[in-house]
Amino acid sequence: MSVSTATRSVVAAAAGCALVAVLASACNAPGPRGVAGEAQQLRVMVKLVRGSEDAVAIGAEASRIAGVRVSYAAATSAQWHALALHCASAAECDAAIARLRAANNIYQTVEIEGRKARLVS
Amino acid sequence: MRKLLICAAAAAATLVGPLSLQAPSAQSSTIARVIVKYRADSTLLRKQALSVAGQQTLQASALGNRIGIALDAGRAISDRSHVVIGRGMTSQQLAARLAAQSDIEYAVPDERKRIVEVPTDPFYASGPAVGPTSGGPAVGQWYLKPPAAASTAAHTAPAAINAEKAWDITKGSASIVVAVLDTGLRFDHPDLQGGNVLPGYDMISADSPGDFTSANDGNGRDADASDPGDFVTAADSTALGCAESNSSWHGTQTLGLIGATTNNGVGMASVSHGGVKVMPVRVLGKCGGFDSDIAAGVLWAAGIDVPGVPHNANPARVINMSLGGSGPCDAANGQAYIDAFGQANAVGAVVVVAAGNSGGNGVSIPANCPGAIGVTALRHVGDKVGYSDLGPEITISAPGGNCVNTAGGDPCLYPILTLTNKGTTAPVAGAAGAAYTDSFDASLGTSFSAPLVSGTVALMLSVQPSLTPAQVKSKLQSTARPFPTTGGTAGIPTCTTSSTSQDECYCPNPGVGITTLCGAGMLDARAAVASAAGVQAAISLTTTTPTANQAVVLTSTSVAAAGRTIASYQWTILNAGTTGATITGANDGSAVTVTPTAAGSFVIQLVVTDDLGTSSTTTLSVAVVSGVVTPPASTPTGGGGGGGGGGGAIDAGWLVLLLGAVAALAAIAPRERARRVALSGAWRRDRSRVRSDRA
Repeated sequence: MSVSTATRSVVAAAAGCALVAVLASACNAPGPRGVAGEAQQLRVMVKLVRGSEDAVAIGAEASRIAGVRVSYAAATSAQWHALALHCASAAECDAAIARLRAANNIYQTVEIEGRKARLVS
Repeated sequence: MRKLLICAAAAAATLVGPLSLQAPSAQSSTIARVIVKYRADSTLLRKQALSVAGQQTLQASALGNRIGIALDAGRAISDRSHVVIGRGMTSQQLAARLAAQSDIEYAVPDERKRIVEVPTDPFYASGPAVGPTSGGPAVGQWYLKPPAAASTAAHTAPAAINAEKAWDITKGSASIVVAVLDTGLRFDHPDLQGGNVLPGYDMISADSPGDFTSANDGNGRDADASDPGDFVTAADSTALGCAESNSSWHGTQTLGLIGATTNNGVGMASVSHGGVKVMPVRVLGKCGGFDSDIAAGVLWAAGIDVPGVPHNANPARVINMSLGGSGPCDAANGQAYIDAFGQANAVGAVVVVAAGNSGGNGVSIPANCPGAIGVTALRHVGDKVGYSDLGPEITISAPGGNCVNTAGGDPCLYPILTLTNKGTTAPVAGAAGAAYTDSFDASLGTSFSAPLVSGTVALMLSVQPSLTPAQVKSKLQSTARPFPTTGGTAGIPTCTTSSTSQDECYCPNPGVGITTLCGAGMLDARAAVASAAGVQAAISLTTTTPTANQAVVLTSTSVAAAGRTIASYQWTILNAGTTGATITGANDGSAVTVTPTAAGSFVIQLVVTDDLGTSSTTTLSVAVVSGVVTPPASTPTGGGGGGGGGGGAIDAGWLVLLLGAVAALAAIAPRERARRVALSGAWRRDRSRVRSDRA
């Protein structure tokens, strides 16, 4: 292998890695950094009727019911889980939440997740 | 004849039966000192041709004869009051016996008082010297001191929480853990090296998969609860949606108030005197934290498992949350907190939450959620500070720091001094980075009111770990001091239920038809801890089936607070009903024997007093069934069955025993009647004392 070939290989490999990293990032990061067509990210907390700790299954089921891509965010307990809805618009997120709330055999509660801050004056 | 037989048998049983009366366990070498004051009409005050000392010697002697204990007269206090000295029992026990005498106005233990211990931490008395841009406050940790008129010279203020006097009762138990849900902790602060800081946990998960902007530590949930800083850059501000800022070291500030090492000659003191364990649970990063991480932090802190997180081997009894946001706490917006607080409460964890600093609006979420002890902030004089939110969900108020309207750049006069770090973004490591907030870098907010309550609750649980969250809340409220109605800035109004924001205002005190907005009053740590330390009276019925004419044994199962002992017992039949029940033998032991003479039910009362002089009262209703007389030597023929059966032949042995018993009963009857009269007066006084303790 010549030096130039080796260099090209390294560059190609690096470019490949970078591409993979960019794609992975695009797939994972929601909202403004999310994939094309997912301009909105909305976090919700769901309370399952039947508790589960299977993050993959919880995310997949929510995605199926909501009709938008859903990524699993965090567990609070076996019943409560945080999910991120990836939507094209605010209206699409509203509709997705309505579908989740309608599935009351799966979800006892669906609430929009907020952030809390330290309380200094 | 049947009645006589039953009575005689009861008397015989009393005389010959192995009664399990337990005398007070005090050693005979114990010396009791009690201050007595005679009622003005006491026969013991009859003038003799003697000096005051001579008369009081006679009075002590006569008093001793009455209760069967040799008493000496001690120091005279007035013509109707002096010290009496006895032996073989504690001062509390002797005081209880003397208080039962009808012509004694009061009898209280003559106790030694110690000089109140003030911690050696230099900033407790006064902060660093005030310079042009740093130092102070001159009043030091004013908020922990006994309340007094506002005075910068005396370093006192009306809203101070009286922690100093709570430390006379307890300096905290290492078995109590306080979790601080906040930004994490600078573990290397020199004032946190007392061995009471637990590792805790970092509960901040990714903002989105692979994105740890909020966490600022490059990863998600893990066992490292150290605070890497929560500074917000311009890029962070755009991404997360909050204003640019330097790192706050907020978790170190709030945890320091609860658990900084105390009496170590370094820096500051903490509410718990450094005696309880403190545990950081990191839930806030840049621009705060998600509800899911915060609720998970609540559960984990309380010892409830969170998926994917190791079990917390040090469950917290107190959870401090100096955080919040706007909105109601209801099924649509706060159910996760409602559930988490409910689960935490159910396992015994008390959840304390700051009211919020939106400038006098409604209480923030989650302080407004059921299961939370919400805390509003007070100015040093005791009125609501302008920034603090308020509302009917609040339990109690505590100082939050205020500046007394100084001109811009002037030092803040009454901030809350606490721990911090010098780093503006990343922390400055080690002692070089350790710092304290002061009159210029002032800690102000309901964030600092809540830890004062959390630390107090930790002290309460240190002396009485069995308290439930509901009991803790009740005791905090019942021991709070009333809000002042004067002393605030001239012209300020009383706080109202208005939906508009309310700046400085006077908090309404509880009353009929009044909606409290700042809780029950101003936190008083001493009173709250003393209330928690009180004994809990309880009675156990030892006899399985109480039966007429048989001895019924009742035993005290009362519990004293940790580190305290029960000093005296006082049993009284409140209502004998149809049973004719009387106490047989001593009524001041840890067990008592009652002999009912007929079926029905009787009510017995037990008053226990601990070595702090705190009393607790309980009553028990005991059902008595009809008895069967069973002769001791032979079985009489006939009879049988319940309902006062018996009869049949009586042999000679039984008859002799019966006659002896009747004679003995006749002999003790007058004495017993007199004793019962005295006891009747005693319990009436005890009940009034208990009522006044509660008032």
